[in-house]
Amino acid sequence: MAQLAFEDENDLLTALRTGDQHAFSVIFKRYWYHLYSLAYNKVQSHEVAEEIVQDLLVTLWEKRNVLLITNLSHYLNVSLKNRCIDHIRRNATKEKYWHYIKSYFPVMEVEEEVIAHELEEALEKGIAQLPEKSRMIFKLNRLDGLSNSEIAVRIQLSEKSVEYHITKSLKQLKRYLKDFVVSMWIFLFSTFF
Amino acid sequence: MRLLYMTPRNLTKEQFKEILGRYSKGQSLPHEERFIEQWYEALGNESRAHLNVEQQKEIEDKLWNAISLKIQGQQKQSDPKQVDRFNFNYWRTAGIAAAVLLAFSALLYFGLAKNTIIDSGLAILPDQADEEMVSEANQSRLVVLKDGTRVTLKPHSKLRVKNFSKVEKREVFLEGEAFFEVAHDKAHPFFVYTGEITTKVLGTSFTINARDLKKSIEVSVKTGRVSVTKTQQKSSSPLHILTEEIILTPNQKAIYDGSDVMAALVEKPRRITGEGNQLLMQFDEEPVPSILTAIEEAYGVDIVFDEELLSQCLLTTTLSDEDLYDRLNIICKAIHGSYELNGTLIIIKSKGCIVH
Repeated sequence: MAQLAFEDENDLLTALRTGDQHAFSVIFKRYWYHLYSLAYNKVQSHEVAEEIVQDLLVTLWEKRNVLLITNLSHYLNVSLKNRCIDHIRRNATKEKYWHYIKSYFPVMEVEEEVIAHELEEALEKGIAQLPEKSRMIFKLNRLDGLSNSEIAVRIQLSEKSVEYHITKSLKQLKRYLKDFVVSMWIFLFSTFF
Repeated sequence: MRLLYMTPRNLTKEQFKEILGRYSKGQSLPHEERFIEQWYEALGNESRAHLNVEQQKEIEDKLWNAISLKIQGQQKQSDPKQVDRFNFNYWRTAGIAAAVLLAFSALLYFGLAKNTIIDSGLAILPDQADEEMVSEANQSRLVVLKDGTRVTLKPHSKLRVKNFSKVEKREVFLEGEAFFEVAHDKAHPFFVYTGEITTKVLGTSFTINARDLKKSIEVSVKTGRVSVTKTQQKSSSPLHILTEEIILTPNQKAIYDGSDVMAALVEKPRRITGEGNQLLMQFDEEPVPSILTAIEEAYGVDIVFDEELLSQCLLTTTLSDEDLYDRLNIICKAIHGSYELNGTLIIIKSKGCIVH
């Protein structure tokens, strides 16, 4: 049985999906070194790079029927990146690794406006995450300016209930925004000093 | 429109971990996402894998073998009728025959006062049907483990094997000396604990000597490699947390001085390429750099020398002695130079050959 050269990537992917082992081995031969050296650059360990590439390709085979890949190279690169970042995240607390990680922290240029916009966005997201009733009551109170008693009448709840919803919403929003604020503060700290 | 320059100077490891976690889940805050993207993009860009053709081939084979094995395993499970082997013969087969000779000497076994991690594995781990094997004072004993690994316990030694079923790692604890022939199973790496040193198997067979008070691990590797790390153990937890890792290749050894593990060359480096009859190396008016390169390849060592300077030195000689250092001595004598060892590097100093 002649072994096809697989010039076209689509043919390669199609063959892979049907369980063509030869197609898989062609993919391996074509991409392994690129993926391996990329992974090595990121995780700084031959051992880990091997593991990552191995897992990545085994998964590709295992899920060949399920994955709908139109761009093989893109899929492999993104998958590799996710796995590398996952490995780094799990090992970030090791001293030596941390030094390595730190040395690549970038300095980002950001327009002030963008940050203000992001805060607004964060606020919106936070409100959207409130449970339906609480969200409605919160909006009526904070955005439309209705008092607790007015809201109570409008939606047929006791004033006490309305109070409860608002308090709960504030708590949740605070928690949500705290992440944003803390994170922002960490990033901006150096600009003021 | 003001420009701000953002860079987190005081970011802690934990905070960074959290940011990465959010990124993985797609829940990053916008400025965090920007940050991670730029950071990852730049990460490790100065380093290159620096693999020569041989090493590339070795890794390619290793990877392919591991992958086919894993997939074969699943083929059998899901498709018992599909008997054909998974294109195993696509490239050079047989995998890497690693005859790893590992001579390992650890100290903790004898209970040095400054370390509380004495006999760590053997004493502290909870029992989960661990098996213990002991050999006699004057006899070796062969033990075959459940995964097929063969362990030859040299005289007066003790091996404790943790239950291999349903665990991610295959772990054993050694007191004394043993020769291991480890069954291949990439999904379940094989670890040997000897006091404060952990040896992770990357090859197939090796000897560990944990008898002497001298703190050194020696690896004589034909092909393949061994990873050596210092085991760190949280006081009450049975978990072993590995710290820095040294990968040893042929003719290298690791020295443990009580706090750090360092790599150096073994006492008597042996040839790793070429058998018996090829011991002879004959050179006829050969420039010294190419002689040194030939030696590098034969022994798997790194030699640092001034190529330009030494290219003017032509040597006619026959190196027949197996010993690396003897050969180096001969060469150094001829070039009026000397060599010194720095970790795993050999550095040649010479004033050159244009003298009369």
